[in-house]
Amino acid sequence: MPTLVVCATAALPSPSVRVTARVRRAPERWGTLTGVTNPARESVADSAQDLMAAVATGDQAAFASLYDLLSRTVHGTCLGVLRDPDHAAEVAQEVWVEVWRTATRYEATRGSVRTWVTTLAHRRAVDRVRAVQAQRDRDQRVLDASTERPFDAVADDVEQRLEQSAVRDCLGSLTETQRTAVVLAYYGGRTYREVASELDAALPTVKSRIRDGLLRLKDCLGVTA
Amino acid sequence: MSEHDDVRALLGAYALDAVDDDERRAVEALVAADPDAARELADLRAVAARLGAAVEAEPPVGARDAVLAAIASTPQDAPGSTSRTTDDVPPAVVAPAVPATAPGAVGAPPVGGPSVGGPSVAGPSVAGPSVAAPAVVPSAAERSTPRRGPARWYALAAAVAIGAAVPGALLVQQVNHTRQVQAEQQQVADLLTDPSAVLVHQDVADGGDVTAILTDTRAVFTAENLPDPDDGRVYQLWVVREGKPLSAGVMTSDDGTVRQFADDFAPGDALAVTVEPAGGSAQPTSDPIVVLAAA
Repeated sequence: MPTLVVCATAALPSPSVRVTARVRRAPERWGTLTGVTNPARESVADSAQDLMAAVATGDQAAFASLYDLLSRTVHGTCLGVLRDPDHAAEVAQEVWVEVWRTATRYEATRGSVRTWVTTLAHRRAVDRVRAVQAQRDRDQRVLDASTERPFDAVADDVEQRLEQSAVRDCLGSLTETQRTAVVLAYYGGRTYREVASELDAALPTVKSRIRDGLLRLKDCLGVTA
Repeated sequence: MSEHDDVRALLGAYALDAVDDDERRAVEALVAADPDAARELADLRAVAARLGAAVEAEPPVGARDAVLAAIASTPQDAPGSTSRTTDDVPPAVVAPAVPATAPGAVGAPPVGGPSVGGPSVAGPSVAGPSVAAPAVVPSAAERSTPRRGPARWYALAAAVAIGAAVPGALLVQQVNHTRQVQAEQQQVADLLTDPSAVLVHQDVADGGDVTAILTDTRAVFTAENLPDPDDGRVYQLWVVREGKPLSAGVMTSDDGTVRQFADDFAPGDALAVTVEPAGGSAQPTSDPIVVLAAA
């Protein structure tokens, strides 16, 4: 729903000015990130893969085990985007039902189970955000600034919840503009067009920042698909 | 910069779900055709997933039981079914699950088209299971209801609306009167540039009004003022092809407004809506509350 998003953003009074001013204080906060913990996920990945194969055959016990393995990630991903625990729980349940329903179509060649489930959770959370935005836009209400989460609010929230993790540390290795774009898009549920508008940056620039930022994160985290 | 490079530059934004629907489709087409782009996307997705995993949080008490109860009553898709997208994540659905009571029969005649009323069959009585939990637990009787053949299922629609091609300019005017369609201007505009576009409108007694734009390749379904489905039930959109329903996704109601694009749509197909258990069904488990077809 790109049009909605653009309209919604445009309706805000000078959002770019307001937000960019706040973004400046991000670097030193992210820059102090220390402590790398790199929880070994390999064994989890292996068992998730096995469980998924069983789930695809209709094995509800395997599904329960898969849920136990990944429910914190799914809920956290939804909560990160939606913030509201009730919304997050509702979307998380939809995600799990979808995992169950579409398990038969999961293809291991397209990435790990963890990535697939987390990707689904994020997409559904973002769908919800945009559906709410669209409703607000349809209602022609004046956007209440407090319901839009400016970058510093997104960053505060994320910073608290990241705690000590490799991701936190690696986010600190991005340039400020890359980090801002990635955090706003992923945790803020923004489209890159919204990000560009909020940061008063050109669209191609924001596309590059996001892609380059993710590639740098990939190297830092040692992630392989 | 070539179009290919343009789309490729979107891979990062795509991996963060930060693109619009048209861009999403463009990326998916690229990834389907270009193994190198597919590899990059797989990497970027794995990175994005780490962003999610890094903020993991304990689900609320009761969430596990609700999920397990919900899946116990949810059929799994047939392997290889629904080729709606090249992507491994199914296309977006609209909002949360809120099923409705069964709307009644035919309302207003189709816009701009011949006034072909559908068979005035009573709507299905989609009484939701009386379960307090958020999970959907259909009764044993409901689960064991034998599935009807496609032809009969199709004919049992509470309301069938038939649309006809209308001049583009008129179509735009009419569409502009529909608020939620207006909100989808970009995508709707794309559909309207299609010379095959047909507008179908239907008032559903006690059940809001629905509008669809059907083209030879895509369709969009929108509805306003739909009653909320019962707890644990959702509206699901179907593309009816040669009498057989193909899921086009579960639709979430946003204060009675739902909207869904069907990206796999062909000439002669119709759209149908049913009320299904949360999460949707592989095949309809109830009769359609409305069917929308081109003339």
